[in-house]
Amino acid sequence: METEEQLLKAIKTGDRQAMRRLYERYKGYAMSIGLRYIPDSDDVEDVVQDSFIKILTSVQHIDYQGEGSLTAWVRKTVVNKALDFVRKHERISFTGTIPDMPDEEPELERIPPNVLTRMIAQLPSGYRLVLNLYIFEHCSHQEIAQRLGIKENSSTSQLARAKQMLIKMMKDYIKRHEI
Amino acid sequence: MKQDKWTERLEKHLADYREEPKRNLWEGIEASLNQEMKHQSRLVSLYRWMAAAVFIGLATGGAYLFWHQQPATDEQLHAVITDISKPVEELRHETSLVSQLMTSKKAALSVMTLKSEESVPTETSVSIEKKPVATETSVPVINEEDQLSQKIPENQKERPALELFEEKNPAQQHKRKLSMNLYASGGMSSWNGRNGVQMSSSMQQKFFSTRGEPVYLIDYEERQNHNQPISFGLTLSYPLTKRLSVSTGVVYTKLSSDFLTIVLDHQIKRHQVLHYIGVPLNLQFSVWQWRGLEAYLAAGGQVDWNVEAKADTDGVDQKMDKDRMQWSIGGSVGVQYHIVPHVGLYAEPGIRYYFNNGSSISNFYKDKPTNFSLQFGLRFDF
Repeated sequence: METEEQLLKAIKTGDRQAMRRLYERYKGYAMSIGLRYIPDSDDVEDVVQDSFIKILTSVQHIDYQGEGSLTAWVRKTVVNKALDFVRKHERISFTGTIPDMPDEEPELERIPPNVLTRMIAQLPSGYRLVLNLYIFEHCSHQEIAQRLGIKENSSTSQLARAKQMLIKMMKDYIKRHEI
Repeated sequence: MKQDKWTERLEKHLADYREEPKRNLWEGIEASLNQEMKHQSRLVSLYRWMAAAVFIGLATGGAYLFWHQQPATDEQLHAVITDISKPVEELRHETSLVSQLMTSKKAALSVMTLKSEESVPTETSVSIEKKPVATETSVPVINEEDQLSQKIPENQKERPALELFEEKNPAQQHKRKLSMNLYASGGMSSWNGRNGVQMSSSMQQKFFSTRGEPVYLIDYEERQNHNQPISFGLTLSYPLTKRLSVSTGVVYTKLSSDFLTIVLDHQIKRHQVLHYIGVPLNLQFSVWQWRGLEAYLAAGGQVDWNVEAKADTDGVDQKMDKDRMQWSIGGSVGVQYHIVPHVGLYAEPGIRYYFNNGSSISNFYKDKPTNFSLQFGLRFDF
């Protein structure tokens, strides 16, 4: 299999086929990220398309630092594009009825990834962004606060509430499908 | 800890999840890439054209200024060197004649005046002003042009003479006011000269070895020539109203000066170059626009920092302190041509007043606090 380095090198020479290969290789990965941020899958596809255009037109700036560099670049670009989309189309809010903390956490592994992904996307925008950035992007609360323009302690409390909401949704799903 | 485990589990559960897009996104991506490539190639052409335009504009402006400065300086210096050195050579040959004059006590060496009208000597006339001691009560000063060029009377041609020079070159009409007066009074014991500088002992011995009396030079002088400052600017402009805008940026200015210290046959040439980086803050009022061309009035202030100061004396580099911060205010009339909608090449002739910054460095700003300025540059409009 073509390594990231080989692929990147080919793309930097302007090889259109190599660009296509990059798209084919990372399109599913990019979609899985976008779907956690944006509820509507058509919107996610638009964001993913924009992300690949951005990646392929700024490929000269990608600094290869070992295997995983290209994956990280794709991830970073999709996350940024998704955040931009949410900022543009949704008012960042931390609203919604916060359920009481459940006694125990459900077995999240019992829920199919595509369903779980969409559950996350259904969270109110503020909770969704905090949860995504903290859990999947490994951002600190300080970084999250800076990126979303909120206070650091807000990020901490929103994460706890996002988790509560998600657990409630997961429990409902398990109960509904009796799995 | 419990939460950390939960988040880890969540991340891990979704780590390998992939979902294919329903639409074929590649067609849209490829179409955008094609469009981007066309746009980039257009941009590259535009940048090349811009670079060429900037280069031509700045090179033309810079060359104009340089060519209108350098020859004058060189000529002036050349004139000085020629004027001074040649008489001295001649004087050396005339030492014996001078001695005769002095020994005879009948005539006094009165005045030697060098008056340079042109830079390249093509002919030399010789004249002498000689008066009996008895009739001379004050220091005679002959430095008028007509006296310098007077014809030598037949009866004086045979007498000892100190050469006076008048140099002419019909091809060059630059008038220079360069004079050096050597005073020697009739009374052998009372050599004096107002604002005189005593002649160096070595020179004195050459001229008056038999007497040993002090000889004074008058018009010991230091000539300085400050070249017109050249400025290149990179300016950002922000519109306040449709016609009024505020602009700031970075302006580079080069000040070069030549100093010539003259002590008889010693000329000390000193060349000084000061490089300034300045930040202007101007208000611009657009008075006329036609297509990409714009005329405007600008007024504002500028602060310049002397980032580098270089000096050399007779080709030997010397240490030099940097000048202090320089403030100035001014107004100008500008012409700008927009090579693209938001980027313009401009030329701004104007008048500026430079405040005295209190430093001891002699430069154009101190010599001419109020002067005409000319600035070229690129301006980016927002």
